[in-house]
Amino acid sequence: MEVTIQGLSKVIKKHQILFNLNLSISGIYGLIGPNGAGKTTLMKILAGLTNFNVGSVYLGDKLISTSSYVKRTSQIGYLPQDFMIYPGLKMYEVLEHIAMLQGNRSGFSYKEEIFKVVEQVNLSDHLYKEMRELSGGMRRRVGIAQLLLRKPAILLFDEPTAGLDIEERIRFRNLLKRLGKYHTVIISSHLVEDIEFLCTKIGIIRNGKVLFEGKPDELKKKALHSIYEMDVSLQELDDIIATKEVIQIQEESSKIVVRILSDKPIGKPANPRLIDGYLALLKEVGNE
Amino acid sequence: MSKLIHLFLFDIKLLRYLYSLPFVVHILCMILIINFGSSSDSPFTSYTIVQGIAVPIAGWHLVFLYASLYDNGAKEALINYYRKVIIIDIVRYMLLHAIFILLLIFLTIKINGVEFFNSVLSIHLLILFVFYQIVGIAILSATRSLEISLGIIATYTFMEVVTQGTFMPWPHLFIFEEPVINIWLILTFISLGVGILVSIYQIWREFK
Repeated sequence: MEVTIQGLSKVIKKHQILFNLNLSISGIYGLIGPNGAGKTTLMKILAGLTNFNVGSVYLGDKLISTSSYVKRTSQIGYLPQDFMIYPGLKMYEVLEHIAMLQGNRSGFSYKEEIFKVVEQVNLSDHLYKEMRELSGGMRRRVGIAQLLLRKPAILLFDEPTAGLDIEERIRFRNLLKRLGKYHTVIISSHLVEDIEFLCTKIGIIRNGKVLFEGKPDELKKKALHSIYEMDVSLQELDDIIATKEVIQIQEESSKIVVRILSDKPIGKPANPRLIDGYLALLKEVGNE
Repeated sequence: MSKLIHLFLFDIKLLRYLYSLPFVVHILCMILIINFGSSSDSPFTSYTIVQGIAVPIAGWHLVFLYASLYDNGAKEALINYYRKVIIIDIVRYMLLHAIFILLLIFLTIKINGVEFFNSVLSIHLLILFVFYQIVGIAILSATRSLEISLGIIATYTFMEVVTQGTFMPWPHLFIFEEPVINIWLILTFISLGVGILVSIYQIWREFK
């Protein structure tokens, strides 16, 4: 299902947070931007948790919110960055409660449904552990499980992999990828690597404005003639860092390879990655 | 019905021993009324116990329960569910505590006679009960802190009850003597009415 945002603006205390956003969201959609760009505000608007001043949001072809109207819908599920509910209760008790609050659906079996979603998020072995005993990543997976109980069409994740250890981050990324097969998933993150792995479409926001919207390959193309690699010695490294825009330094056996973002050719051209495209775009738009 | 049973069982699991606190206080109020209500010179001793201890403590369940909403990231995740049940929650705890308050009223009547509960006191107790049932959630949703909310409610109630309204120079929420229709009594009712309306508005803003 597609989410369409038209002309959306939000002002908080005379400070404009979002400027006339137009986005068309489908598949696994990555929302990238620096801290304070307005990503979380946009996610909360989509989740119906905060209002906005101008614009409209459509779910498919149905209008779900305007500045004066927000339709509460279980079609959209939102997982915040910090997720901790009922620390003293067991995971099963929490999910059972949420399933119950969901309301009765005909032929709905709480137990069956809970086991199903817990298996989906790979937490079956921890079902009877207290929430406080679970790691940060596990708690976020419980967050996903409780969202899945609602059977939403759209899943919103705010910085889903921030602060997770490597193993948990990979597990979480794979889970999001799987969820993307059956849901429209919107991920807000400043970890471009995760977005590159997961997303089929990307929107870049900075200072509340959309700088780019398109496929990952289109973003990579932004860095096509501005990303270079150079082999340097340890002595040259300091000078290079001081004078060039170095975005990666890698030690390979006896040499040091630096990756540089530059308008003029320097070293040999390199294959751009998503982060290169992102940095090239930010450089291109400057302080706009 | 099964949903209602589930909600009560879940609340007990969530609050554990804290769940019994208001009931323990209600029982304590019964003991106090039986022991001191009949031996006191003032017929208002038992009414003070009902309005100053039992009624305020009756509102604590909802404050404890809704405090879970203000844990890290819990509000964004849970607000949609709480929206659906907040009215049910308020009504079911009102009914539950009404049973205990009625028992205490019955004891007060036994001691002071049925004529003690004139229409003014009856209406006052009803409004005060509604006020305490919702003011806790309203303050909690504004402060987002269980400690601050309980602090505000407990401190204000304690000061009014202990000083019997002599300390604070403004209209009081409680009645400590035979009600006479005057400006202060009207202001008491207005204060409670305004408190209820402001609380409803705050709860509506938070859960709309």
